[in-house]
Amino acid sequence: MTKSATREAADKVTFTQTEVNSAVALKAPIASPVFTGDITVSGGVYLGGTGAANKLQDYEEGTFTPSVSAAASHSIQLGFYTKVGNLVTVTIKIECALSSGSLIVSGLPFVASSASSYHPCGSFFGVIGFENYGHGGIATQIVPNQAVVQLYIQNNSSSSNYTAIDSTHVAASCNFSINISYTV
Amino acid sequence: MALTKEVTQDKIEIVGDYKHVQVRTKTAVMEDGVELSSGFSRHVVSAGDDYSAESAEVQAICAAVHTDAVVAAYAAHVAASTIGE
Repeated sequence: MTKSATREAADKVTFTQTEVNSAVALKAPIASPVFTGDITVSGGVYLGGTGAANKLQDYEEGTFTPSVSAAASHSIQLGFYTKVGNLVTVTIKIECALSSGSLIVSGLPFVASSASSYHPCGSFFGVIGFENYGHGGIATQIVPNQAVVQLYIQNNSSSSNYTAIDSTHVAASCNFSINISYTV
Repeated sequence: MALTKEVTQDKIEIVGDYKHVQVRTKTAVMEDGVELSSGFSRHVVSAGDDYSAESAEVQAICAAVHTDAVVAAYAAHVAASTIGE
């Protein structure tokens, strides 16, 4: 590389692009590089392969404000999300006073995939207000092409395994948590 | 050394057949114009939603993409998808 380098001044040496490329190509890969600062990538990163399915091109975390469709008022509305690639995980905490209607949680940060029959479900913990209808378990599910979580009671019946929860199933006020992941 | 708070809608996306408008709001703490920290919050405006409280930019986008046909199609989608199957 130094063979064709031209000395233009006492403290300046210029290499051609070909020489630089050659030098970089010859350099052995670093097995386990360690970086001491942040790494900023404007595109994506391929992990474990070079196919499209190996490319991680998005990471984001933040907040959102969930709400219940049947609520007259909310006293707690906490929503946190983390998006890794096309998978969004949300954690929700809500406390509200109910008026009437279905208990559908809206305000998710991303619209769910439009894949037909795609209804991922998550976990639910009822803290207040579910004493009469929570015994069979309460299920949560995402609806395709929407940004909402629906709540269902799991029924012990072969004719119907679930019933959509509405304000008649819950006490006048309720407090619950949801954790659910879905693709976008 | 002046600390300022800047709130901007730094990403607005139109998603899917029903033209959901996904809005990302960035809140940044700046010191003399240099960002010290920032965080995101998000919300989605769906067809048929009241967007009168949105920013002028989001209102303009919603007005353009949430046509009567899209609103009707999304309402039909919601009505058809309230069963968990």
